[in-house]
Amino acid sequence: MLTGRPASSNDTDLADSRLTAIVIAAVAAASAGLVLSPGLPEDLGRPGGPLLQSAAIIGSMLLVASFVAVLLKKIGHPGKAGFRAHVWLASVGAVLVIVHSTGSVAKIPSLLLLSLAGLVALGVWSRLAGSKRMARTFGSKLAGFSKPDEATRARLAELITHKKSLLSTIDSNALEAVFSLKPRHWITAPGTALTYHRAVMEEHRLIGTRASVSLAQAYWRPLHRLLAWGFVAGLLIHVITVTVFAGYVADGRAVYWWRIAEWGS
Amino acid sequence: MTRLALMIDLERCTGCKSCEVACKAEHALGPGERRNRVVWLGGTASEENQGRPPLDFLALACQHCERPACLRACPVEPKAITKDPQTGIVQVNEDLCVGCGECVTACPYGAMGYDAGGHHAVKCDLCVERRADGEPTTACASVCPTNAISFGERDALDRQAMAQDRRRIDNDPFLLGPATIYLDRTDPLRPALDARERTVPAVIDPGHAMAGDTTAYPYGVKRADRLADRIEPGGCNICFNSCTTKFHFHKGRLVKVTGNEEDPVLQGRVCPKSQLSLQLYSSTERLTQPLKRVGARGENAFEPISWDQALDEIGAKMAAIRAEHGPEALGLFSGTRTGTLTNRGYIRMFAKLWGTPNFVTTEPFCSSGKNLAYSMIQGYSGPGNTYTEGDMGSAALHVYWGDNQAETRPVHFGMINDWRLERGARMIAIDPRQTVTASKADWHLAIRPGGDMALGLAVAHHILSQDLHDQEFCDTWVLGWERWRDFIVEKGYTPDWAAPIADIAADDIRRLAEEIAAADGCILYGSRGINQHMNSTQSNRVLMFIAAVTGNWGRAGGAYFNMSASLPIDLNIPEERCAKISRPKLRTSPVGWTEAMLQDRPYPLRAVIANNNPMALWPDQTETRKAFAALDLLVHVDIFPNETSAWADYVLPAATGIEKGEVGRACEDRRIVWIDRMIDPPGQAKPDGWIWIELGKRFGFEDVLREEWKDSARFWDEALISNIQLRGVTQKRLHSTPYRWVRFPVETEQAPEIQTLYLEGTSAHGAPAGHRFPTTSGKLEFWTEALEAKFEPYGLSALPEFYGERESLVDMAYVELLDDDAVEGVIGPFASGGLAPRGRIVQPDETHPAANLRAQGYTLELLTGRPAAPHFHSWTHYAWQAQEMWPDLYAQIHPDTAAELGLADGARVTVETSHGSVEALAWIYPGIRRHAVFVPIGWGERQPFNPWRPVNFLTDKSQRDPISEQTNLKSLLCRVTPV
Repeated sequence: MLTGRPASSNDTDLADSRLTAIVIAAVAAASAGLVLSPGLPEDLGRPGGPLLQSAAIIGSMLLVASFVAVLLKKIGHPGKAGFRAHVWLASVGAVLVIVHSTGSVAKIPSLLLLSLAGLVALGVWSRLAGSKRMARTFGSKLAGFSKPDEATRARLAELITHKKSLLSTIDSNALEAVFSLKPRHWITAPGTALTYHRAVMEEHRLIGTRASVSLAQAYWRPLHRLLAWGFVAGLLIHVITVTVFAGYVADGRAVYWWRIAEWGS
Repeated sequence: MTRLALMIDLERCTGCKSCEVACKAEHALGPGERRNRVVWLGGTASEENQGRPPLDFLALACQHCERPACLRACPVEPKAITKDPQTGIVQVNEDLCVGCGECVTACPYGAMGYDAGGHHAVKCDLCVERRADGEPTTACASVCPTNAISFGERDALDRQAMAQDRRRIDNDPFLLGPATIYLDRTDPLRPALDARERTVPAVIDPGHAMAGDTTAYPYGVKRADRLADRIEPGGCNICFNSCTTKFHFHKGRLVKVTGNEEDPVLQGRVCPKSQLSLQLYSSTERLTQPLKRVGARGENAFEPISWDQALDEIGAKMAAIRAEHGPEALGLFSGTRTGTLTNRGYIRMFAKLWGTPNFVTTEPFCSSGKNLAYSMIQGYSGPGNTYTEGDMGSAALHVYWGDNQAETRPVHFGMINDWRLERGARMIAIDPRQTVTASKADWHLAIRPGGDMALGLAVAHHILSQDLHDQEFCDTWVLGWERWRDFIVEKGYTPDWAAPIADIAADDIRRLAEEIAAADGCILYGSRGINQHMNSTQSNRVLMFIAAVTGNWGRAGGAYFNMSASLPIDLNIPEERCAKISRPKLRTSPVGWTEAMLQDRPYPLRAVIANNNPMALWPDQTETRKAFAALDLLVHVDIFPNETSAWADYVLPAATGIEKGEVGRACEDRRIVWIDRMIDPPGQAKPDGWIWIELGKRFGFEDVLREEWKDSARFWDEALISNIQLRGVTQKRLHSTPYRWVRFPVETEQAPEIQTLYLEGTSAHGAPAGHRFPTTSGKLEFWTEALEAKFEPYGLSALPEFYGERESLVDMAYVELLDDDAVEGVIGPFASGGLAPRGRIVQPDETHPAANLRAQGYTLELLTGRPAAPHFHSWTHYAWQAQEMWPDLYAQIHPDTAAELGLADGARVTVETSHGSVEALAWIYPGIRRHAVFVPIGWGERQPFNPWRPVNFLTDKSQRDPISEQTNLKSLLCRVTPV
């Protein structure tokens, strides 16, 4: 195992050993919670009971905060601190949410647990194994030193011209050579931003960007992001459903948890 | 905007990876963490390449694109990757980087690095911080041994490339606007580089995991803690290149080793090994205290003891052995690791005082044949030319004959290659493999292993029979050349005769002879490919003959150049203090000692002090290990633990290089490089000189091996330079230059250095006036009655009768040794006057041993030799970065052979000879002869990173040149099987 000792960085990295310890601790805590929760009094041991519902609320807030911590890098906040926060918040949040679930996997909300497991697995893989693959990528691609395909080059030239023309709408001061879309572009000029994004995707396809590395290395991050957005969306749906459509969720049983409305009964 | 860039010249790059080492040292990068890498690009032979498989080296670093894909892929805001609008340099801010790896995926050049330990991207920034500290160029360019890397303003580099009319590689297939300029190979017939058509060998940079705690300094140390506050000039003590170096210190700690740009010859060029010595000095694997064996031999169980206890006990055991068996029962073995001052000074003194003739070095494995041949012909062992533009740089033709200089002495090759390109000189390589050297040559002749003497005789035959020789030089300066000529003609050593032996077409042999004869200055480079054969002495003499008859001797730009130049050290010992030696030396080669160790025949050898690693170095390891197990006393002096230490009774930790004060190895061109003692050895390790002086005190030798000579500088001045050739090489003179070397011979401190020795009109140093060469006659001596008389006891002649190897795919005449090592044989007039076996040349018939072996399935030709430039014997196997680059023992195998065996590149195989077997990883390489297999030296079973059995389990101790005792390490029959 490598020790995390970047010579030129002034910020503290979350070392692999620390990450491993956090994940192991989280798994242990979640397991302990699942084992112990059946022993609680019935009122407290149910997912919607005051104890476990509180755990769910706090856990969900921590997971959303973890999500936001990563997004902060898009708006100028230091990446490494954000990443450390992301790991800590997600770990604690996940434990609380898992304990809240009481291990029930037969119902639709268990999809959230599944995506949470996927998120953790992908994240841990990227740090412990994916990072080594990334290191080994150096010198493994020779496409840049291959005989150029003139048709590809011509199409790339067209795309560059096209992107430059789009930039006059998106960000007139920007240089295509160093430009990438930011959240504000999607807000201020969503249509043009989408067109620009599609040009970028075609450029990547022509260059063979993701095809130049292994599937896992190429797609772990898109998949991680997809799962994260899906998880947040699912979490939102679950919260709204159990608090507003409590009657629908209860499906004829007693609504014992805190809610706003019991629509759907 | 002043766009900065690198320019990489593929014609010059030899893939040595010196730039990689420099980069990691400059930026304190750890394993797997890269800002640059030299990618070896192989490929298959094609008509476009004139039937030669391509081999190129792509020095890869960030291209500093106009449209950097990495920057655009970075998801962080503000970007962790930025582009300087003035210089165009693309940099990564490691604090902002979140380690997502999108930039790594995005870069189509694969030039974005990643620190898997610190989880962030790393990349080349053209050494921004280094240049801000006042250095004029990048770390990679500053060390490049071949001048393949230039750094500067892109426009200027552009103009430079245009001025040279060089073809460029189109490295912009995706319109990213890379700044880096790549100059393609110069051969206009070669197709432009298309990397997609090329293959990368699996055995290079395979990305093995490496434990963090074994990655020694400077990985991960902040730049501020690595900035030098003191820089000392010195040199590298590893190989014959004798690179001059600078040692950089921060608060007394060695932080970096670089080339010395003040050296007028090397100009800062330095190979990876010199730089990797930083990792050796810092290694946690070093031996640091004396050890005494507590378990069985080979068990590697020891207890730490004090120096006094170790030396007292060793001394007592030595005295007991001397009392019972005589002083000759002590054998002393040393080599590269031991260092020149110890090999040529301290140990030799001890041996003379003690009274044993049995002190040998690794010479019989490397160079004894050529040393003897030079001495016979020229009167001094070593070439007289120098790596200067006016001398070797002025040659019109460079013929590398069994010398892979590009990988074994990369800095010297870089200089030759540079001059060749500037001057338009031709280069020919004769080697069973397309080595890196051969890959640069205009013409590669893939000779059969063991065919060199036959080829040489045929070249000589053609030159003489066609009157292409230099008649005036021959008549004036060569004694006995007509006798040789008549003998070669009488024997019928024609190109047609040699063709099936050397496996080179007769017309090619004629062409080669004509090119050599016609060149206005031809240098024939010979090395281990010529030396490591049973006909070592005679093969060297034949090549020397070719050089002489074509007038390529004693001139600038013309030579037979078989490194290195022996230091003419005369020991300062009073004659009366030398102990009486009553028995002659056992065999000159230490592998000839094994019967004395096992059977006490011809007389007992009961104790060995090994100063390097015989349990990897000695041919025929099976027999060697049996013999070492039978010793009464084995003392091992070394810097790292290895197989020999595991078997030793006592292990003594030694110092090296700047820990003790030393001169560089015997340099190829007579430069003596002095290395000051600059740091203390680790723990209780001691300089070798200290050990021998202290051991000598146990026997009352302190009046000769004096206490004050523990100071190596004093020892040099007072004990080692009494020879007329060295008298001027004093410490004062060595320290008078900023590069710390003096080229001998210099009789006084004021005497000028001589660029080329033996020029017409000069007299050899110390020889009578008019004696151009330092022989008795003053001429080159090919045949004299005195010489013939010296050959006679061996059953051989001074005339060059052909014999080749016992193990080959064709049945060659071979020499049969009539005396095994258990009998005395004869007292050899050469090779230190020791006991020697008699020989008899056997003509091939149906009972040829090779035919028998082939019938048993040994149908491949095995040759052994040095691996790539970052490795040297076992030294570099303790440097983590060398292990990262070339971790595993490999066997180069031709693709057709591999296909027959069903092998994939990188597959594990067993290589087996009739003498033993090793395992290795297959490197499928079309540049090797169809039926040849190459396995490199240097690996051992107890090395810390990637242990493998040493190649000497495959070699045979009995296949030795009777004259020089040189072992055949280049032509053995083997078979390969998948594991």
